[in-house]
Amino acid sequence: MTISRRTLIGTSLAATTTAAIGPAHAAGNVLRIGIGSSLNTLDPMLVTIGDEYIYTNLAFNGLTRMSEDLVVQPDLAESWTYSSDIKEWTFKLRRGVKFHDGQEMVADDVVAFFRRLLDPANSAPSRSQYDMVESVTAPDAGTVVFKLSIPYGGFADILTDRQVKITPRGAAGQMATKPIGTGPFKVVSYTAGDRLVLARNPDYFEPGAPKLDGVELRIIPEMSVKIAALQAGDIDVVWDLPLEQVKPLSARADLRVDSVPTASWDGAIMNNTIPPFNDKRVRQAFHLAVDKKDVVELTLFGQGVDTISPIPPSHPFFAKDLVVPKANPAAAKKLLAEAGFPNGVKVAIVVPVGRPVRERLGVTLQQLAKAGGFDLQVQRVPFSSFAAEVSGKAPLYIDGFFSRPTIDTSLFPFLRSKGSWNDRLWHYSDEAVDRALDAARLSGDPVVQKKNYIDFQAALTANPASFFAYTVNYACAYRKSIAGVKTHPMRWFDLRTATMS
Amino acid sequence: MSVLAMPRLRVPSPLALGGTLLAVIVAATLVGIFVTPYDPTAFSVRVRLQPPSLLHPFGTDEFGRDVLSRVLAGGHLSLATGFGAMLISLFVGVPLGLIAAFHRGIVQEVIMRAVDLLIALPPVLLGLLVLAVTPPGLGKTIAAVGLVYIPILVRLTRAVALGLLEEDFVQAARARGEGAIPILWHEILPNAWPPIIVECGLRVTFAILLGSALSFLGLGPQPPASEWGLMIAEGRDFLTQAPWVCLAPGLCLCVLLVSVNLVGEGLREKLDPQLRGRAHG
Repeated sequence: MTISRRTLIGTSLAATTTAAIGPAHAAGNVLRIGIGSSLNTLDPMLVTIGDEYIYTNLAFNGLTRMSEDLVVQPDLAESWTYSSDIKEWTFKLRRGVKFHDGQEMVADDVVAFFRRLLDPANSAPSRSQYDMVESVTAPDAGTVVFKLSIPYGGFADILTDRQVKITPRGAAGQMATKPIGTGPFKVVSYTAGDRLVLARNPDYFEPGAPKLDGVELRIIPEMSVKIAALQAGDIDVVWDLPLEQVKPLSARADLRVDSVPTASWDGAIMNNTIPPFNDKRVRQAFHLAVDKKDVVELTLFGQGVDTISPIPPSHPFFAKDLVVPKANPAAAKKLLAEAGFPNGVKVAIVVPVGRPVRERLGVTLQQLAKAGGFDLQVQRVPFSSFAAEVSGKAPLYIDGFFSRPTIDTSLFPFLRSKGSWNDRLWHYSDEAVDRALDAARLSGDPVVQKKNYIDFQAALTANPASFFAYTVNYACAYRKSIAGVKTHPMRWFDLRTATMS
Repeated sequence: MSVLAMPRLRVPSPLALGGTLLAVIVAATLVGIFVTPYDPTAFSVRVRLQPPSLLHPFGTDEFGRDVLSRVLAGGHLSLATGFGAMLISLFVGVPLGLIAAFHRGIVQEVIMRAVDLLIALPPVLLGLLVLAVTPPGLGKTIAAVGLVYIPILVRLTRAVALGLLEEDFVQAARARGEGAIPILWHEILPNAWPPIIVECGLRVTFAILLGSALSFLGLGPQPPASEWGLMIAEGRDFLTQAPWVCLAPGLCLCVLLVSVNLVGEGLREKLDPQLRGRAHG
């Protein structure tokens, strides 16, 4: 018997594909999610990228959690109360919860975790968000008390954070290799560049969950390969779908494509200390020159919403009644002339190479701002050199930030005069903005917070720090056989109720 | 016997074919600087990512810009990179090579070791080094690519000149008491041209490719310019949906390279004394 050359090539090709994507059918109801990069660490306290956040939300629990509609819910904490000065927070823990190794989760584990998080020697990326924590104590096995140095109304909200996941005390050393949590799935194996395998946690504390036998995070860097694997049924979910793919893939009968609003935003960052953008009128003129709705269509293929600040229009705190001046190139030119630029402004706009959406935003603005008297010179600079050379230095550049768990953490560090991100971006200072951000932080009452955040958006419109172009949607594609999964605006997955048919 | 008697196939000479192609491309891209079917930078939301059609023979890109217009308007940037870089390496490399051949002592050592140093660096890395320290632009890309190819021309010129220096007519010139410059200019250079010209043809090709590679990495002409390497870089996110955005500039680059190569090949046949006899014999 002879094998023709063609069959041979066919066989070897098939073998290569299988090696790259893995067996077409894993045993049982195992959900296969295509992600983009390898996980750099399995220690949930040290994770920093979206691919890793998916994992921490499957294998661990926090004290609180955030639902898909951004409501804070109990997780390992059953309930919580705060003192009248909002400086002391008491959390009642759920009892009878077991870690993956069978040990019971108690208040001492929570205390040990926060001590580890707050120890500067461990350099946890989210430590600075918990600077206000003065002490963590466990009066009994089911109670944890946090004492804060300042009143902070959003403390239960920031505990939904993707890096603040409770791990067993005394097990810090093994978290990077044999992580143990309380989550619906437990880690079976991890191979960098290939996959993370998770199995159902039979002792999970919520009865009936999870329904899946396991989850596999398949690492497939090339988006076209991921989409081909989804269409072939080799994976079940494509995480973080490029926005230009939303419409074409939605047309397919075997797929469900979800595109949900998030608080992740991109914008043109203007340096408030360097001409021409040190003049408020030039920043206002830029807003008059460009119609944000056109930007959303051109840059995001319509998969996003124009916004005033990092507060997304989908959020209850968004100032939907605020009157924002309509785009008007003639008025923009007039304002520029008043600011001393009768012939318009010529300035470079730095865009990050390797961030396709932000590159597109730069090219979009270059073209759209022309009519309003802005002559922008696009400069492509590798994203890796942004932190060293561009951030806080260039007069005008494109940047953006992923959603943060609360409105306070998305605004205060960025726009408060002495905020930790302010000097790395726009060097912005406005008294009314400072006042509103401070006041919102001092209250735990959503009604008071809302009023302050609407004041903040009005103050920001009157004196723009920069050009917040839009909040961008987050999209995922699922095979139709997958049910019970909502697309989470924080870009992770809650798979407790997911099923496969 | 019968094979020898068969008439030769009438294939156009490489020089004629390449020259015609090159002339067409140069003419089209020169016209494209001033006139294109559509404005190469104008957005048109309603016709985004359209496949090739009668209205848009090369389709449209992610902003609804006409790809044909962009290819025409951006071609001169690729051509300028190729020929500009070649001229730089020619005008710097050839004199250095001649000097290194004539002065065998410390001068030669300095020139040749500097050349070794430049050759040791990978071309893209060298280009990146030059461009990383200053803001990007077309002139700098041309200079960087030119710098990359100087060493090759220095070595080639020196090798050719070393051989010629041993020839009788050069010895005769020396005996007549002529100085370095007259000897290099009147005796060596006229005889060293053929291999140098052929090499230059090849260098144009490589320079266009390297320029496009640097452009792809973000260091050449900047958007909304439509240099072909940059167009390929911008279009690759849409490769599965709209392959024509990458394919059109890619194919044009391909045809340009083939035509330059054909011209180089043709020149070699014309100029190389050893091939000259055979070509039309």
